Amino acid sequence: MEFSDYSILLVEDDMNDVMLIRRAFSRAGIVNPLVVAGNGEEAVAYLVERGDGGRDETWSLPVLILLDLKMPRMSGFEFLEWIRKQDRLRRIPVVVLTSSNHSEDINRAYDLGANSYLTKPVQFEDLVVMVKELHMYWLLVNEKPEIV
Amino acid sequence: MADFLKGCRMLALLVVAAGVFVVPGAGAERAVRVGIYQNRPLVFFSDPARPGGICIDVLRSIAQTEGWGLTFVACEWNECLSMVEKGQIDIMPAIGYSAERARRFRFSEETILSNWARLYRMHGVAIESVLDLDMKRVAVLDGDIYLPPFIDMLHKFGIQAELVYARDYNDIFAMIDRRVVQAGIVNRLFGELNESRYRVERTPVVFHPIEVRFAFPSKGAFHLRLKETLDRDIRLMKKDRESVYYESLDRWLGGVRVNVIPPWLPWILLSVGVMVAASVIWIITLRREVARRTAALGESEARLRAIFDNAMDGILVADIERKTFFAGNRKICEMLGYSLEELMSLSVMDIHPEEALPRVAESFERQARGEMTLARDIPVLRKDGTVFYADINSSPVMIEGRKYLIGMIRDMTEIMETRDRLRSAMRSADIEKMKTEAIIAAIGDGISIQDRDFRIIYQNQIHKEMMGDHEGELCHEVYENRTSVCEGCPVAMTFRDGSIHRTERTIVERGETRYFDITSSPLRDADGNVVAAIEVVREITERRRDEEELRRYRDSLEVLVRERTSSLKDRIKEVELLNRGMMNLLEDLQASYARTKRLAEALDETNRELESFAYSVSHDLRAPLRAMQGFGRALVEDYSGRLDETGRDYINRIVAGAERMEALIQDLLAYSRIRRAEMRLERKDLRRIISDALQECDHLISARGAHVTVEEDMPHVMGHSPTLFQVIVNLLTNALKFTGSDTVPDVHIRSEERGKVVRLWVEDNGIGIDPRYHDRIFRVFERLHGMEQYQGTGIGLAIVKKGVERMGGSVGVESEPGRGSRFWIELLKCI
Repeated sequence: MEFSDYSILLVEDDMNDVMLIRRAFSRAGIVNPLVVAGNGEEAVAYLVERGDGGRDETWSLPVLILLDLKMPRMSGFEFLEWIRKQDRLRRIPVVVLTSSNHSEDINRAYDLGANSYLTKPVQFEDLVVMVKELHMYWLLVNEKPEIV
Repeated sequence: MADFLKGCRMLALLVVAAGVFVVPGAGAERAVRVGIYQNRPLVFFSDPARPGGICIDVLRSIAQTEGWGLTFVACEWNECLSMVEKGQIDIMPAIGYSAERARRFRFSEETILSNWARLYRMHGVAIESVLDLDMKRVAVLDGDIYLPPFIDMLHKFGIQAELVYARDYNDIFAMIDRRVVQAGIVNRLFGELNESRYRVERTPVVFHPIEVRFAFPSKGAFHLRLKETLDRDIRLMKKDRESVYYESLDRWLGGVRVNVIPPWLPWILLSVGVMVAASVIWIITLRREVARRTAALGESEARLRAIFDNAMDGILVADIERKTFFAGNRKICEMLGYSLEELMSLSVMDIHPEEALPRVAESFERQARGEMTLARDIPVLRKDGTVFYADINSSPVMIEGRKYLIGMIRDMTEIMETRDRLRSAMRSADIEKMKTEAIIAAIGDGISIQDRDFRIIYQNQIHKEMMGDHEGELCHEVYENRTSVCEGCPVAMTFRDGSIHRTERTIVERGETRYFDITSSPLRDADGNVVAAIEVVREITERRRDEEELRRYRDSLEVLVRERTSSLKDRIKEVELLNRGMMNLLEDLQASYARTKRLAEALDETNRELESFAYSVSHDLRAPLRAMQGFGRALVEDYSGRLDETGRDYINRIVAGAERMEALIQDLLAYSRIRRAEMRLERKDLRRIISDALQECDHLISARGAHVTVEEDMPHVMGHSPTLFQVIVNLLTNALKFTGSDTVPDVHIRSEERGKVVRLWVEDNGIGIDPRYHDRIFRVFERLHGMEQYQGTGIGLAIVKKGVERMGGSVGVESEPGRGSRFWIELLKCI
């Protein structure tokens, strides 16, 4: 697989944020596919159902998951709990990307197995910088685990 | 129902009227009304129109002979009697004759039969005679001929029986049968015929034989004729063994023996019997009396004889006139040595020595006259010629008209000799006694001896001094003023069991209480019999008083101890009360603590809720801010070419607003964090924190070209690093921001030690603050200037104040408009 084929799964319910992040990705010149799930359930569905044969040609297992915490139906915490119990998926790095910098949320996210915790910046320029650094670190620098 | 009864009665009257007035139409024939009631077998009925019984048989036969028409009127016994009396009934059959009734009714001369009353009893009740009827219930028939004699009998014997009045004889038997009464009186004929039908028992009690006759109203020729006819016909019937009379008796009485005897015969027999019995009893009684008296006489004679013969004294009975002996007892014969026959042939003068005869004669005469009874020391001559002295006690008696002198002769020789021996013995005993006395006196205790009568027969000197001289008196009388032996008397106990007894006795004498210890021991004779008791009396009054004193002392001690104990108890009680009060207080405290704690918890809860609210608000507010900011920026970048200057300005204003809002939220969050953060104060180097803060504000300093100086010498303080950092950053920012646009900011930071605190000054050359607003600037959202002039959220100084206060310090400002501001914070000095 080409490096640029590695996909990133963004779990985010706020479509404004989704659009801003997509724009930041493009501003940052990142070409890896960004798959979006509206909440935890959709993310699970993408990972399990599409991974169980319902997949099409565009489907690929993400190398990074960007996770918002406050979402309807299945929250980011619940998703974290779930994915860390999955035999196949539990090694996928998960970076929490959220508005909250509440220490309770931060601690809980790490307790549940988050690999990193980032607060969404208000300034778009700051967001672009953050996306660039994310891509650099998690997709280029970081050694990826083996996903069976 | 009442009407029906009335109708029946009317009908009955019509029937009677028909009987009375219609029948005389047949010449001599006349309707005869016969009263019928239940007295089987004489008269009885189940259907009043067809009665039966001996009297009815006889009446029917006579009516047939005489051509009478009989009308039967059923009635109760007493009703029948009154109806006869009033002439409503012409013939009343089967009625016993009595003198009383004879005044009310006319009776037939002839009797049907004789009858008497018999007492019947309930099964199992012991009634054998009238006496047994005491307190019993006895059924009787009111108006019964047997009732008055029965009541009479009860009165005579004083028997209290409860009489229960029955309707008729059947009722009486029924009552006995039902055990309503214990006994009942019926006539013997009824009894014999009916006793088998009830549970009744005959008693031997029968009384009042009477003759059963017919009764008629006492007035009127008609009834006289009826009676005479009836008498005549019955007389004829009785003579003829084949007549209806005997036939009826056989028929109704069956096995019952009937006395068809002349009326006078039982009376004659009765009186004869009584007379014979009376004479027999009288004779027997007389004989018995004679025998009894004879026996009594013999007995008394024998008794006298025995006394006479066995007397300890000699007894002689002498004829006063002739002075010869008439009788003598065994003892006198022994005393004198004569046989009784010999003695009887002698005279008084023969049994005394000659020289004493004048004196004897004189004594005899005087005794015979009754002038004296006792003659002392009279010499008496025995058959063998020896003489003894005797006391002669005599008195005159009359026997069968003659005068005799009975003399009791007591031989005094022995007694006198004993007396002499006793005297000499007493003399030697006196010596012994004196010795004993001396010993006893030396003992020091009171000693007295009581004989079995509790008479004091001896007291030693000490006893006499103690109790007074009471020899010869009864101990209980003198010591206790009692007529009988004292309770718990040790002497009495000694007499009872022959052993030693000890007791203590209290005697109150002239208001003074004396205590004695008394020991009683037996004094035995040669045979070992207890003849007296020796009482050793020791006065223990002194000892007692000592003991008493001791006891009183002990009691007072006890009282003292009790008092002390009780006061101690009071104290304990007080302490307990106090304790309880304190406990209550403690409980109140605990309660209020719990309340406070609850409040605090509630407050905490509220704070937590507020915090989470603030967080969620800030979090949720930032999302639209990001959108505004992000898309505003995108619009400027991607579409600025299509916008004019005004459009671009608008977009910039939107983006700037979003940025300011972001700053506000950040400050709010910071303020909130400072309010709630846990402040662990540690020793902090002020210089380092100031240096960090300067670095943080670097971009602002460079932007304004500001000049900041920090004093070299900075002390250590007690503080919380993040808070301290935030406070200093805010103060610096404040100093850098509020400067006129044409002025280069000049900020000076210095410290000043003031006792236990360190005052840190941040001085600027800014616009200054009117003292009126010095308090206000530390409050949240207080802004003194328009947004256009000076940017700020209005929270910075509030964060400073809150942060310093939470670290135990205070804040203040010295400033005037146009002359710069000097902000200070005081922090705890590090020791």
